[in-house]
Amino acid sequence: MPEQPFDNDSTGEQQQQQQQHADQSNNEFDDNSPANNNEQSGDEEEEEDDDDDDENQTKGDEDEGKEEVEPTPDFSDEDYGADFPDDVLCPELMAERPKEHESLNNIIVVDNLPKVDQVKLEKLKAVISKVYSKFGVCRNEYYPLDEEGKTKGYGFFEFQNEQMAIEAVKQTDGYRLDKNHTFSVNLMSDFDRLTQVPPEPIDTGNLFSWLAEPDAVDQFAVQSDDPKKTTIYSNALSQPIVLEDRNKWTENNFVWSPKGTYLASFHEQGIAFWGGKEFRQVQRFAHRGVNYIDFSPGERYLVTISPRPNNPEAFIIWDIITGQKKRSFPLDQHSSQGPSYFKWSFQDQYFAKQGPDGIYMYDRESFQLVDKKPFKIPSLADFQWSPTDNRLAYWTAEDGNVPARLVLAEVNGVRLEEVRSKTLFNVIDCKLCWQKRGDYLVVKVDRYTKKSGEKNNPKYSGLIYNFEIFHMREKNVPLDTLEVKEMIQSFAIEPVGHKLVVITGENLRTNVTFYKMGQGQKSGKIEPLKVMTQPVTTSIWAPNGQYVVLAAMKTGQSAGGQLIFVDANDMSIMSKQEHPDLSDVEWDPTGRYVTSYVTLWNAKRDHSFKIWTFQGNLVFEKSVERLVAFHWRPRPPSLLTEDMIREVRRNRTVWTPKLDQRDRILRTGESAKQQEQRRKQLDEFQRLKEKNVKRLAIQKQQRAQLRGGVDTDSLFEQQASNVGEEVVEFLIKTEEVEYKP
Amino acid sequence: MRPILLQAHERSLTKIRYNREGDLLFTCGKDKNPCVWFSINGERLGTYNGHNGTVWTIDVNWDTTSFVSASADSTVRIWDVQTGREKNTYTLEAPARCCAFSYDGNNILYTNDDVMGKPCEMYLTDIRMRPAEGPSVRINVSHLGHRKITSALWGTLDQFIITGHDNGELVQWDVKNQEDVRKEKPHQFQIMDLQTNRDLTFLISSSKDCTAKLFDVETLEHLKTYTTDRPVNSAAISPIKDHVVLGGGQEAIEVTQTAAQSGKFEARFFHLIFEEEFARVKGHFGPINTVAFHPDGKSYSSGGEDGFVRIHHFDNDYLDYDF
Repeated sequence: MPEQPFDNDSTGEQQQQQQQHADQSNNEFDDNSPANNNEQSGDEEEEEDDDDDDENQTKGDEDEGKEEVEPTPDFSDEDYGADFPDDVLCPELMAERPKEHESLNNIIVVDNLPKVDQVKLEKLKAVISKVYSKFGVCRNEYYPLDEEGKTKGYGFFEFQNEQMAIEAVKQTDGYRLDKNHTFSVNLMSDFDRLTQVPPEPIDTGNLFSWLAEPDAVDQFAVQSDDPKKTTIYSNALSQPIVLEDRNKWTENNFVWSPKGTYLASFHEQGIAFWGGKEFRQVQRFAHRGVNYIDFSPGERYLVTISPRPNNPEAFIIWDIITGQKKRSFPLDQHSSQGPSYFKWSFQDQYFAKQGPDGIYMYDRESFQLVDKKPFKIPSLADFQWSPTDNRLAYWTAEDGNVPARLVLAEVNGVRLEEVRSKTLFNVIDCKLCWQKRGDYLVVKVDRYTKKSGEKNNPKYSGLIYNFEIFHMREKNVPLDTLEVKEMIQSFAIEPVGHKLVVITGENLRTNVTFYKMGQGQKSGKIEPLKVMTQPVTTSIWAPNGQYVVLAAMKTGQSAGGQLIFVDANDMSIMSKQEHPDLSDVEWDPTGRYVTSYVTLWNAKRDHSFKIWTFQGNLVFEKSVERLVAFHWRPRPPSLLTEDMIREVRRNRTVWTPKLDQRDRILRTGESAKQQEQRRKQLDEFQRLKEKNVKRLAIQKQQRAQLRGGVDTDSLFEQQASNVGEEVVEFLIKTEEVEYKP
Repeated sequence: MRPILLQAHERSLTKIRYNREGDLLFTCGKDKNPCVWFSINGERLGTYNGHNGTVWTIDVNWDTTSFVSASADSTVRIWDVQTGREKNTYTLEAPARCCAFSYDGNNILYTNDDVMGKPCEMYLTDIRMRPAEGPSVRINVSHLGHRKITSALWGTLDQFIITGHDNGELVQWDVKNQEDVRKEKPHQFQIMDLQTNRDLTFLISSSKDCTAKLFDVETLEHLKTYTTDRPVNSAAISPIKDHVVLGGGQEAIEVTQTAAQSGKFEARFFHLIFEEEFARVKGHFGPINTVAFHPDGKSYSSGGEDGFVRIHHFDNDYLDYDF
């Protein structure tokens, strides 16, 4: 059984801890957060209640027994006042009562003293006193002794006041008495804090062990609904092997972290992370009613989103490794319902959201606004971070006579500097899209030629589509414009490379056009490389480019399901396949396999996934009833440099035979195992048949009797021996022929 | 080889049966007249006219002299195979569902549906007696706590009967004592068909729960499961190879709601022992309601909701192929 991430026993405890945590972090980072204010005001109210309402006193005490240290007065009539403790009777006096912690603060503990016997103790005392006398008068000193009368190597010293003690700790911690004895000094009052070492985190093993798999086999997770079940497979050579299969692992959904280290499961109380070899729980983040999560691209931070109305902590940002809450945000009116409310810069350095008057950018050190104020951008419509630089692109919508603008900006210290911008007229919508390597920024712009209707509900006609392409790696970031005549259904940029696939047209009468965006082609015309007329809706590039799958997803009337595997090097169609009612297509992180799958949301039945090679050969298919999600486990980016990759490519002829041989060994091993299995099944069944044959032989007489003595057991063998050949003639065709004598 | 298409039924097929030698193929459907054909070339020999409703099941005795049919017109009729004349009529109180000849060919069993307030009952009759004398055995199946019988056949040496029920139950009845001796529930939903292999040692059941299962006839021990993604209407065991053929497909009532290709009206071939699908035969454009192997194992036939019977002769490749 897997551990329950939020089992009932520990939930309360956990929540309390988390609550404390929350208070702490709030105090640390955000004193003005409404959550904090609420709590404070709540406490005050309770205290007032205590004073005002005597009737409720006892009841209230029962409820908050833990918090109330003082004993409760009893208001029963008999012996009225007898039980009153001193501090109720004479509070002024009792306030001056020495308190435990006061004196504790004056005491210091000195460890690593020399261990001496009675004879030398006086000498030691003298030496130590000399050390500490300069901080103030030592009221009291104590050296614990063991059974033999030797000191235990540590001592306690009480000063007159706290300041002295603190000063003593500060100055003598690490004091070298001699070669072997270096003091370790602490305040007595810190003792509790220091001894309360948080329990050792559970050893989750190596979280990256899955990457050490010798054949670099990828993993994927499949989730089915009702009963909820999550299965993790490893896509081994002959066929996928189930690694882990758990019921009710997650309450609605699962998400892989961007580098694949963790599997996040959703629960009413929060998010749990699973990882390591056996997918044990490694972290949890308590956030009631969490609906979406989002990771920073470097997997350092997690954003959990619980979009309930009036939730003061709708967004919480967590440090993934420590599980600490870093900051929370309330739900504001501007927030969109979706996982990527905050957008992270490429090295997790900044995160930003779109506010009512511009971009609100926070840094990861303080979790406060950079420069303490948002970047004011009037009528900001959308922005996107570059995946490889501290740059972002944004566009502002048309506002009255002010035209729309498309801006590329760079974060420079606390400023946002415009690098390149373009003014666009008659814009309805823009879609910002960065290439994975950050070489290109492609912006799809929808424009109109005529606008009519009311102001709030305008109607557009004569739509024009074009792409604005920023060449990020060239000097001054030149900009190309690509006009497209037809309606654009979808487009996709080659993640590593220079090609752009655009699918245009309506319904399934679509054209797929490949463009080359750059490299050598300076700004100017972008020529189409090839046009294919194929009924598809989406194009999905392999993670390393070159190969692209054109797919027809199920849309409305049409079941879709066409899969076209294209090699974009020479624009050849490698294979055409089908998977009716197709919901989505996903490449594995290495680009060796593609899966197509049909989920519960798209089709009534035949929920299944199929794994294809990048060339479009079917490797594996499995029907999963009520399939809801399929996701490959992502991999962290390769540690190889460009040069090393080139080196590997150059030596491919050396590697290929070795790898081929390895594949062959794996395959034959697998088929031998299978044959063994089959032989066993065969033998088992053979025994069954023999048993039946024996029984039939015994019953032969009886059978014959039932059929009047005729042996009907071996009809055909008998015919072969006893009966001669019979010629049967059939009339096949009748033909009338004129008789000519 | 191209299949032979038999088109004589105006409505969907309900059952097809070969006689013992396999030279004749008997078919019946939701129209009223069962037919008989030469299995070798698909020439029709004749029809058995008389029923006044859907004919659900037919069976032929071992020496191909008599032929029995159970119909929704609440009658079970015995016919002379050669002349097509009605020999006997048994009238029931509710639509008849199943009928089967015993091994010796002298007795028949038949059942009726539990509709119109009537219980589901099973009858055994010696066909040499006059119908007026009534059945020799009459078992009230509903009364014994079982659901409607959807399929029935005789077991070894006519000592027992096996029935499939519409809740997926499989029951073995002792003929002498007229009681249910074994009860299994191997399927989740209705059992659509029961067939045995040639020597009556194995039993294959097909069910709406998308599986067909193999049992030992005597012990009803579950041996193998053949899983598909569509309801299975009929399954047959090859007499010469360790193969089974499954016919089925999306239910007729849902066919118009989806794209044609997702109906999956193919006959599927599974290996008897390894439970692995190795071939599919396309052709019908509605679900397959009934399949049967020729007794020589060199051809098989299927009857579909589309009203066609298709006789498929195997290629030599299949016959030589060793799995």
